[in-house]
Amino acid sequence: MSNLNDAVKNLMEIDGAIGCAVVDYTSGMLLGSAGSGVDLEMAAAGNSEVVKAKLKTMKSLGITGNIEDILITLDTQLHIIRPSTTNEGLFIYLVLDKKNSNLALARRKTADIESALQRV
Amino acid sequence: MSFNNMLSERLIDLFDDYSNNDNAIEIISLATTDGFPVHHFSRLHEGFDVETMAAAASTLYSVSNAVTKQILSKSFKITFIESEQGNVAFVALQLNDKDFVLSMSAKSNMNIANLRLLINRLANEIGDIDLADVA
Repeated sequence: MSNLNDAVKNLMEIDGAIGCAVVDYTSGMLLGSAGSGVDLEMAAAGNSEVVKAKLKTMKSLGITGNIEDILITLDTQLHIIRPSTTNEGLFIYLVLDKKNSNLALARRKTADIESALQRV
Repeated sequence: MSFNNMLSERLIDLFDDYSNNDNAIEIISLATTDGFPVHHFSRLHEGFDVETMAAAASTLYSVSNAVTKQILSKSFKITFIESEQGNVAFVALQLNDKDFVLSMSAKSNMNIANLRLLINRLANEIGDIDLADVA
């Protein structure tokens, strides 16, 4: 199991990682972050709305179960959002440089880091 | 065993769990909204007076409640105080239809998001104590 600092450190070791964060989507606040090039406080708050909107939509559609991950593809970046299973209300947020990263591999590694994250 | 003693035992277990899990937590205190201490944990060796903490929590609860309910017509949930040495959070909670305020103080190495997460989680766990079972 790993703590928040280990999780953030491991996320930054993924190929192409620009920035990463562990975010409380109930408040939009950062619990931990690393990297630069992206305003992670702003990203945490904005992506908290993404997660809440998705959960709300799922509820409206009567879809049961949880979000495994949300993958967002931009022109030059890839964003991975992965809710924590051990810490309800938290998600892992990873920003990748598109040309230096492999989405499948990064998604797999993010899943591994998330599953190893201990309860805060 | 009396109701209060049994409730205290549950609170001791919960406070121990949270304080042992993270050394950054310095104080956890549960008080009534009229300023009487119910149970507390403190890692501070001196300078912590449980009565003063309960009174301060009660005052902040009243002010926060007044602002949110009477001025903004919203319900009060949580108040933070940020300081250079760490943060303090105050959460309103109900137990057996009575109002309480839970306080948690942490060192500066615990950020405000982490403190918010932990105090809300603890407040939910205290709220989940089966008072019928305790009684």
